[in-house]
Amino acid sequence: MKKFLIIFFIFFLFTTVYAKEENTLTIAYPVNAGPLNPHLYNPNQMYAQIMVYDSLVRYTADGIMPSLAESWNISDDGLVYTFRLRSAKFSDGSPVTAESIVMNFNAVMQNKARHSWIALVNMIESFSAKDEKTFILKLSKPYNLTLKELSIARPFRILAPSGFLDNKDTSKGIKAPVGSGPWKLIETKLGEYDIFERNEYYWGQKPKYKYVKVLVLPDANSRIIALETGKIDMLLGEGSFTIENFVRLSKSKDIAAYKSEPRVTNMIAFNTARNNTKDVNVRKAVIMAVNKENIIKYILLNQEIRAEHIFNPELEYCNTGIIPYEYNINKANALLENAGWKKKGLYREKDGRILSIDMHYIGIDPKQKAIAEIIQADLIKAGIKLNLIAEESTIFYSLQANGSFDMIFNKTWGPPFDPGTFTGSMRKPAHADYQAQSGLKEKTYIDKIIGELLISDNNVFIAEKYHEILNILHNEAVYLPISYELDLALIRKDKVKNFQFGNMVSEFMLHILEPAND
Amino acid sequence: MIKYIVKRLLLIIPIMLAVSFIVFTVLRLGPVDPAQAYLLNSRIPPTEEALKVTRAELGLDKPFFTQYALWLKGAVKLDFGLSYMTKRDAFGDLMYYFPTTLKITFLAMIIVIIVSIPLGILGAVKKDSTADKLVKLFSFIGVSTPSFWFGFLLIYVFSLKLNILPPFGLDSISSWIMPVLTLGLMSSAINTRITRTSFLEHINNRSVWYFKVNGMKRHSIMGKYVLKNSMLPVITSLGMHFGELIGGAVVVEVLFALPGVGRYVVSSITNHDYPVIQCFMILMTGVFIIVNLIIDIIYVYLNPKIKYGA
Repeated sequence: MKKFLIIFFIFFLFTTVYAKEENTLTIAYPVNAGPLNPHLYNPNQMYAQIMVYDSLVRYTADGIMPSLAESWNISDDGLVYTFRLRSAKFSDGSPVTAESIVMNFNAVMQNKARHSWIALVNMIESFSAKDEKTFILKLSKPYNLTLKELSIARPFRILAPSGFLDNKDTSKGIKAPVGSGPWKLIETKLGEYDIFERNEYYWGQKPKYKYVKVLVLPDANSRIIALETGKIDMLLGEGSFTIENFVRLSKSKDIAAYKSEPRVTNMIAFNTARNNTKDVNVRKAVIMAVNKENIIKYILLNQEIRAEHIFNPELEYCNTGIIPYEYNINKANALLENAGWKKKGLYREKDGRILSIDMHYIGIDPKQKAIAEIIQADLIKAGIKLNLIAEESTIFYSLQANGSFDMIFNKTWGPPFDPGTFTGSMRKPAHADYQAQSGLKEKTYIDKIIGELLISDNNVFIAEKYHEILNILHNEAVYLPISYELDLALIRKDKVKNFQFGNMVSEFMLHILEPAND
Repeated sequence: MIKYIVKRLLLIIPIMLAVSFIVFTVLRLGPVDPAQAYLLNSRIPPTEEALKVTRAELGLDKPFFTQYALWLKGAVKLDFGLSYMTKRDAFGDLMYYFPTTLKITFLAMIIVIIVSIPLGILGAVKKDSTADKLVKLFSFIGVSTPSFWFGFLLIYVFSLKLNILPPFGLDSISSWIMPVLTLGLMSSAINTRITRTSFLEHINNRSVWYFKVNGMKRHSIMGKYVLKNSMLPVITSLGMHFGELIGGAVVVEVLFALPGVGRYVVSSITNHDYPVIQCFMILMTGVFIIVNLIIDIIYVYLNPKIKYGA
């Protein structure tokens, strides 16, 4: 009998472990998920915040969809949002109530200065629970990006009351990461892995996998090797692998390679208030002298789409019909010649000053470096001396923020921030776009109409104003758009099926994946 | 000798104080505001309001000497503050990551000793033979091979092609093989050269001829005289390799995804995470002082003529 029990126990243990393996999706990420505070930033990783916590509404390519709020209505003056909550539960089994939403909004607004980059935070006047299932949000202005900004990865995600510290101040930390999303974080081993378990109380379609194990693999090559050796089932997320590896593995019979719709625009911003880039003719000449086709073909290996505009024309309000500058080296030369930049030797000069421009890039980013080198070679043909300056990443971003650049790499923020929130941020001095535009005589006017369009409910007016802003930025040649970047994913065909990209940057949609052998 | 060791141990205090002040000052001379670095790493535009809140939260709004005094007060109690990025105890996290790095470093050190000393002696004893040429070739290749490249080569062969060793992680004993070999290669190659040269120097010493003339057996000469004396520069070099191996561990930890201190500190440097950098510098100063002291004590054992503090 004793022997039988031992055998039974070993068999039970084996089958449990085996079942856990079978039910586990393994992926990799460069760092641990963090303590998963839904209202804070680093070291909390956005993909994990989205996995564990829900927001009131959800952003999709087809518009805003219900999430914790089943329905909502907006008052005629656009100032009062009334959300009707669904019958949902947190992963600890407690119900999601309007009171719990109020607790979360209180915590976010207590730490308002930290979130000042989100315009909505500055427009929230009050919020309250009308009854157990009705949450009311009042604004000071009728801000038309309210629902979009409520849907982003942070800070408006909802933590269960049991997850709060006694002082209810999440800026000081949380007790436990308890959310209502499809997953809950059950184990973290620093520098090694995080394990998420299916939230059995999830109100939506339950995940097919019981566990998600996220291995911490900081090196991009190690991540690729992990995929090739079958140690992980899929790879996705910004910078998870190089384009070269994507192209190579897309030919593999074991791996399925996926590309999303265009997400963000990679571009170069000119500083209109500094040195030689103050001259609009110089900016236009640079745009016309750069052969983007070479960049797309040889650097981006045709895995990104050539961009002609700041925002992808497929985005709402962005199909403006503005005719882009063509690639024409002769026109670029003629423009500079007429503007008084005369060629002396290799480079042009005006009033004894060489036509020289400083361009900054992140030194460890091979893509930026290669693009910068192609641009440098192109500009010599127009007599422009481009000085390439490699920067450490933090210094690079601080140069963007304080305007210490002639030309600098820049990108939009992707969905759901484009075009609205990104355009709104052009008014903040801490943003590269504000600095780039600061030399324009129309800057005050641009900021004014951005303010107007964000609080309008008239679609025709909004479209007109976007057209006006984008037209000014085009005529003043403030940006050199390079490419529309896509999200890429590599999946092991023998392990996973039903892959789909998320609607937002860092939304991994792991809950809809299924084991391939199911 | 004991007096000397006590004196050396007491010296740790002023050295640590000086190092802490220099590190604290130099970090703050950098062009980057850590509050801005934190916001930018969190992908938040550093607005004035956000910067103000973050500076207050990180204690960067206080005068420099107040910041140093507060930090020092905590540091003597091993409270080096919270990491700016992870908001976790910097000392606790370093202690969490340190054992892995120490294990790899010590295992790599053992590889260096096992490989370099016999090879160096072989090269010296069989000077100009095929064996010596092979030893030289090994040294030459080892010194010229970047460790990350060698690591990738091992992964390519043993994980991707043969599938016999795990490409990353620390799940089993076999997980240690590739990281330790990667880390130990360059130091083994350098140390082989040093051992060979040092051994040759002593073989050709006139006293060896004297021993031979007096009829002493070859293996006694080699063991009692040449080996012991030629080990002095080798031991010095091993002490230096210890630092080199801890530094090199960063590459190995990133490549093989090992939860070690090197990877943690490098990301802290990138993120301008002062509390972690400060804590690491203090710890490493302590480790180096102790390693050097051990080396000095081994000197006395190898050469009793060396007297300290006389």
